[in-house]
Amino acid sequence: MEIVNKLLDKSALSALIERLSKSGKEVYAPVKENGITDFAKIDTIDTIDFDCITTIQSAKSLVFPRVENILSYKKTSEDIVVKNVDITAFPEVVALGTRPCDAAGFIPLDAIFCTDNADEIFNARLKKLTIISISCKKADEYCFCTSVNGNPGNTAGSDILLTEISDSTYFAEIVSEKGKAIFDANTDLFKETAAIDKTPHLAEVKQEFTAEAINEKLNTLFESDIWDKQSMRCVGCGACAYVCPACGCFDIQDENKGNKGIRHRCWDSCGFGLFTLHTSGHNPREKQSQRWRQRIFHKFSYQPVQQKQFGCVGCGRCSRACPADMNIAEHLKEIAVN
Amino acid sequence: MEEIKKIAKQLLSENKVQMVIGFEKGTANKVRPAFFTKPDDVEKLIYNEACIHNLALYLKKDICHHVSNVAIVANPNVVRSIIQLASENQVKEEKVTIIGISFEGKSIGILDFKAAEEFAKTQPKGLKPEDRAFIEKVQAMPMEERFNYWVETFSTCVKCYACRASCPMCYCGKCNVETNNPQWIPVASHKYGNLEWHIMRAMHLAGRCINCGECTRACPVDIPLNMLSYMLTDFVMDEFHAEAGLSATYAPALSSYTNIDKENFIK
Ligand code: SF4
Ligand code: SF4
Ligand code: SF4
Ligand code: SF4
Repeated sequence: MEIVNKLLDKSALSALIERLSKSGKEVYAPVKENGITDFAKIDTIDTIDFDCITTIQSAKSLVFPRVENILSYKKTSEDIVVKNVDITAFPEVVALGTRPCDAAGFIPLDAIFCTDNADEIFNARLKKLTIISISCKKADEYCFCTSVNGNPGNTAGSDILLTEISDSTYFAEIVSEKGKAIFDANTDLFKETAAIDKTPHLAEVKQEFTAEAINEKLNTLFESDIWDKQSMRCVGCGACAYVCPACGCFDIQDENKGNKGIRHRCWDSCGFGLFTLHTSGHNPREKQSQRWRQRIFHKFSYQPVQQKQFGCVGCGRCSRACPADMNIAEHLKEIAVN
Repeated sequence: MEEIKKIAKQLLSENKVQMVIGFEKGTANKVRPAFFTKPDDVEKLIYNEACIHNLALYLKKDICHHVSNVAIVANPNVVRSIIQLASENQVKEEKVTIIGISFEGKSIGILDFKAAEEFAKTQPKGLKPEDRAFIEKVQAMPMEERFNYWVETFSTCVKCYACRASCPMCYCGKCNVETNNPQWIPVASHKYGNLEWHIMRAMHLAGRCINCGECTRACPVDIPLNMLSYMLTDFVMDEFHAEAGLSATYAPALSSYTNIDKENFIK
């Protein structure tokens, strides 16, 4: 649909949040607790941390939780009864205060979960998710959305995008049908406006390279020693993948108790040695540098082929979370000029 | 710092070592672990108050497997980690050159293991007053409240294992959480899966943790998980009079037996 421009005062946003949660929707927003800001359930605007550049973790857990039950099973004397998780019972969720990069992250994530077969559970959650993002006024040294086809006022992936244009007012872009449904139910809260140039209200993020250039370079870099050099300090954990809005790898685990049990889907990461370990003991990615190479190749070479999407939105979360200060933007830039 | 650079350069140019592990400038005002293989590279080596990562962890990573001699810029935490690793037969003196440095950044020069032990003994060790205060607060809780406190504290753990990957003492090729036949610890990061993982981790570090805080520093969601292994530091001290990282020939409390070990747990 064509984007519809409106204004939303902050007091109206506050009223909107209360209406949404009263109507039975679960509203998640960045909340600061014990010194760190992450998405948490809210029912009032007062608990939102509007100042943080990005939350530590992305909003992906709203559609791809770090652990979820996918089915339960029970063995009886005659039969095995398998019960799938009830996908109709998932709540309606609103993600509020996601950044444009968070919202954009749902696009490659969705593409992963819809390759070959559409994943029912993921899609059921996604269908019930409405994303109300807020454009970035500030960026930090880790942000690089503009180098991977995004920008601090990007509407892609959001259902509504809010841009703060004064201390009391947001410029609201209604981007999708889901966004329009929220608008239609709350028209009294919005005001009319002509289109507004958002640029003066957005953070500046310098473009350092293009995702297409990385993609091109990777064609000849598989055997390069750049992976060894870049990954020497990488300790091989899951922090980068787990905070990433676009990483979708998971593991399936059964937790058995007697003759019944639960099957879980849990996050997994290509940073772990165990990720590719075969039963035979052979590991096709036996060194950390091969795992680092996989991370970059998957996002910038394989995903563009398989899903016509880059697997990175430039949020910088992986770099912020990395215990060894592996800065992905810096590494990509190095690849771009290689 | 100039002194350290001089030593590092000399070690590399005389080919006494093929790699020096130290620090270089990182993102913005961060520092990051760096690996110097040529004398000229050493220009980039830095040391300042931000250099708190426990570099000893790299001695057990694959980057060191094919290097015959490696030098490491070692503050007292790194020194103690190396001594602890030596006591567990994980590093060999002839392979590792310790470039000692005080917490304040004063160069101590090259230390052999004997000198490293002496140096470690003179340095501040054990728990910091704020750690002790934290532990006392938690220990004072009634049992049920304390249990719930830990369940709650670990509930945000995403099982990224950055803590494990960053701890020099967590070098097992196959961690217990990865054993699946039988499966001891649930893979899922649900409440009890997390609790079991953290209890297991702490138990395996009892008397081995040198209280460097690296695990908690590595944690993306700031879980004070080091406090569990710190608690056991005092416990192992009281019960076994043993302290990690001070003697390269010390037999770790949990894998050795002496006739002063108490057996009052057998009832
Ligand atoms: S890049 Fe950083 S966060 Fe990712 S696996 Fe390596 S050390 Fe962990
Ligand atoms: S790879 Fe890093 S920068 Fe890119 S989307 Fe994932 S967390 Fe963000
Ligand atoms: S403080 Fe943490 S990282 Fe350091 S030795 Fe103890 S358990 Fe390992
Ligand atoms: S680093 Fe933190 S989140 Fe990751 S496994 Fe350790 S305690 Fe859990």
